[in-house]
Amino acid sequence: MRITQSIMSRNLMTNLNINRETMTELQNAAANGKEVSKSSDDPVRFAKASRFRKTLSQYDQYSRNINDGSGWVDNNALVMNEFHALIVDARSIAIQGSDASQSEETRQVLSDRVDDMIEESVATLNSTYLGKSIFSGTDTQNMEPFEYDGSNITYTGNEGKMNRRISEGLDVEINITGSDIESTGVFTSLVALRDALAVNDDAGVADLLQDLQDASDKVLSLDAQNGLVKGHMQMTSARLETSKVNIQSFLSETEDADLAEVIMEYNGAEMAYEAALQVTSKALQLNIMDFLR
Amino acid sequence: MSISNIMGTSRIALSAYQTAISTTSKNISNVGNPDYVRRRADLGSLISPTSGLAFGEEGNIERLESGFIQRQLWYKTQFVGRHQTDEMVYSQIETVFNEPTSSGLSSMMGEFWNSWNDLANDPDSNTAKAIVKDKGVLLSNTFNQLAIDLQTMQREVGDDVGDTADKVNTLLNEIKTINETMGSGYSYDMADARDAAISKLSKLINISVTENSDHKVNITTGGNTLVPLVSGDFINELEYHVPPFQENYAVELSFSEGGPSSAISGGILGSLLEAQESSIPSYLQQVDALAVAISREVNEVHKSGFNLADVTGLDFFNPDVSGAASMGVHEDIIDDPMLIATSDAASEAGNGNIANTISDLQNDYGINGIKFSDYYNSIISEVGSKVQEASFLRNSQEMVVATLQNHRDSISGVSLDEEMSNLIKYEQAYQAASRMISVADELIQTVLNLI
Repeated sequence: MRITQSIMSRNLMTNLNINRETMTELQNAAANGKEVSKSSDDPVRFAKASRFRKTLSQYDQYSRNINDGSGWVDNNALVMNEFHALIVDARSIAIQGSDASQSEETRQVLSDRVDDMIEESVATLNSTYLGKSIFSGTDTQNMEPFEYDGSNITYTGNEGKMNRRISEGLDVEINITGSDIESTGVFTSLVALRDALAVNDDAGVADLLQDLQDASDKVLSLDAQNGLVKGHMQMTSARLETSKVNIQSFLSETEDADLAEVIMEYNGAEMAYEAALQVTSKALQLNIMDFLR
Repeated sequence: MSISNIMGTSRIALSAYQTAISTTSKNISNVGNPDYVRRRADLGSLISPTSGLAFGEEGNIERLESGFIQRQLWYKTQFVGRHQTDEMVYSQIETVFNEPTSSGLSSMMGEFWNSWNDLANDPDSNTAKAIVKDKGVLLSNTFNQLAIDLQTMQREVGDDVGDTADKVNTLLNEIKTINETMGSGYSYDMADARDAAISKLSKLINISVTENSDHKVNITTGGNTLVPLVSGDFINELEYHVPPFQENYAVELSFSEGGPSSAISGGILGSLLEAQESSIPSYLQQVDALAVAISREVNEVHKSGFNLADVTGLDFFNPDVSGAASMGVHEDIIDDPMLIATSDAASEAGNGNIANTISDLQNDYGINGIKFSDYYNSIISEVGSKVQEASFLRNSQEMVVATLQNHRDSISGVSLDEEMSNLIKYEQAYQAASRMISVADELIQTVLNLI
C-alpha cells in the first residue's frame, strides 16, 4: 500500500485516541471506585445493582419498623409485668382472706386494699407509650380505655390490632388489646374478691383462689405471646441484617471496581500510551527534507 | 536530424518538466488538504504527443481519482454521523434521568414508599404526615422536571434539525452550481471543490452519488424509495416547519420538489429526526405512564382510607393527571397534611393499615403487569443499552471510514517523499534539458564559425 503523510498521522492519532479512551475509563473507575457508575457502562449490571439498592432501602425500612415495633412490645412487657405483680398480690390477699380465722374487720381492710389494687391496675393499664394509649386497640387517642366506676371496670377501646411490616408480606401484631385482658377474667375475679371480702364470705374468697390463679396464668400467657412477637422480630431482624450484608457484597461485586486490577490495567494502558507517543514523535519527525541537502 | 531538431526537442522537454514541477508544487502545497486529489504530469504525452498536441490540463495532467472507494466513503460516512449523533442524544437522555443519584427518580420513589411505612408506624403523627406530603411533593417535582427536561431536549433537537437542513441546502446549492459550470469548463480544482462539498454532505445525510460522463453528479437519498437531491441543474431542497411553542415540538421536514421525508434515515439529520420524532417522545410517554399509574394506584387506596377526622374518599395526588408534567400532590393535602388517611376504619387513630397498603404498592404489579421500580429500571436500562450500542456502532463505523480514507489517500493522497524525489528528478531533467540547448547552441556556433 502506498503510504502518505495523512495515512500515517491518521493511524497514529487513532491509536493515541484508543489509548486515551482506555485510560480515561480506568481513571474514572479508580476515582469513584465503580466500574458501573451509569446505565450505559453496563445496562445489565446496572439494572441488577438498581434492584439490589431498592431491596436494601426496603430492608432498612423493615429494620426501622422492627425497631419501632420492639419499643412497643418491650413496653407491653413492662406494663404487663407490673399488672401481673398486682394480680399476684391480690391472690396473696385472697389466701389471707380465705383463712377462716381472720376477723371480719381484717377482711374489710383487705377488701379496701383490693379496691385500691383495682384502681392501681386500671391506672397501670391506662398507661401510654409515645403519647399513645397502649391497650386501647387502634383507638390510640382514647387515653383512658379502662374505666373504674367504683364497682365495675369497663373497657371503651376497640379490638383493633396494630401491625408492623417486618419483612415482605409479613406483619406482626404488636399490641395487646383491652379485650384480650378482659377475656382473662381478671377484672371479674378482682371485683368478686373485693365483694366477697366486703361481705366477709371466707368460703367465697376461697372459691375465687382458683379463678385468680387462672386469670394470672392467662395474663402470663398474654405476656408470653408478646414475648413471642419480640422473638419473631429479633429473628427477622437478624435475618435482615445478614441479608443486608450479603446484598451489600452482591452490590459491590456488581458495580464496584477492583482497585488493584484497575491500577494494574492503568499501568498497562499508560505504558501502551507512552510507547504510542514515542513512536508517534519519532515517526512524525522523520522527514525526507532532512536527508536532502 | 538537424541541430535545430535538438533545440526543438529540448524546448519541449523544458516546458514538459516545468509543467511537472508546477504539478509537484501544487501537490506539495495541498498536502494538508483532505479533499485534494493528487495530480500527476503525464510526461509521455507532454514530451512526445501522439495525436497532435493535447492542450489543457485534462490531456497532460492526470487526476488520480479513487473512483468507487471515494463513492463508498461517501456512502459510509453517513453511519459515522448517524451513530455519533445517536450516542450524543442517548447520553444526554441518560444524563436527564440522572441515575443513580440521591435526586434520581429511583431513590425518590423509594423514599416516598418508605415514608408511608413510617407513617404506618405512627399514624396519628403530624410530623410523619408532613414528611409523607414532602416526599410526595419531591416525587412529583422529580417527575415534572423529567418531563420538562425531555421536552426541552426535544425542542433543542428540533432546532438542530432546522440548522442541519440549512447546511444541507447550502451544500446542495454549491454542488448544483458546480454541476452547471461543469459542462462548459471542467477543471480539476472545480472537481475538488465539488467532492469537498459532497464529503461534507455525506456526514449530514444518507446519500449515494453517481457521476455522468460530462462530469455532472447525481445525488440521491433514501433506501427503498430514492429521492433525488441534485441531478444536473435540478435541485430538491429541504424545507422545515417549526410548530408553535405550545404544540407538539417536533419540527416537520419536507422536500421542496416532493418525496417522503422518511427517506432521510442516515447521517446527523437522520439521527436528529429519529430522536425528536420517536425516541424522546417514547421516553416521555413511558415516564408519563409511570406518573399516571403511581397517582392512580395511590389515590385508589388513599380514597378508601380514613384520616383522624374520619373523612374518607380523599385523593392524595391530583386525580386529573395526564402525564409526568401535571403530576402533583393534591392541593388540599399540601395545605393540610393532617388530611392524609392512614386507617382502614373510622375512629381508629392507631390504625396504619392504609399507610401500609400504600407502601405495599411498591411491590404490586402496578403498571403493565410489572412493579413501578422495575418499569422505571427498564427505561434506564434501555437508554443505557442504546448509548452502548450507538457507541459500539460509532466506533466500528469510524474504523470502517478510517480504513476507506486510508485506501482513498493511498490512491489520491499526496506523499511528500514521492513529491520530493519527483521534484529532484524533474529538476535534474530540467537542468539537463537546458544544458542540451546550450550544447545545441555551441554546435550551431561551431557550424557558423566554419563559414
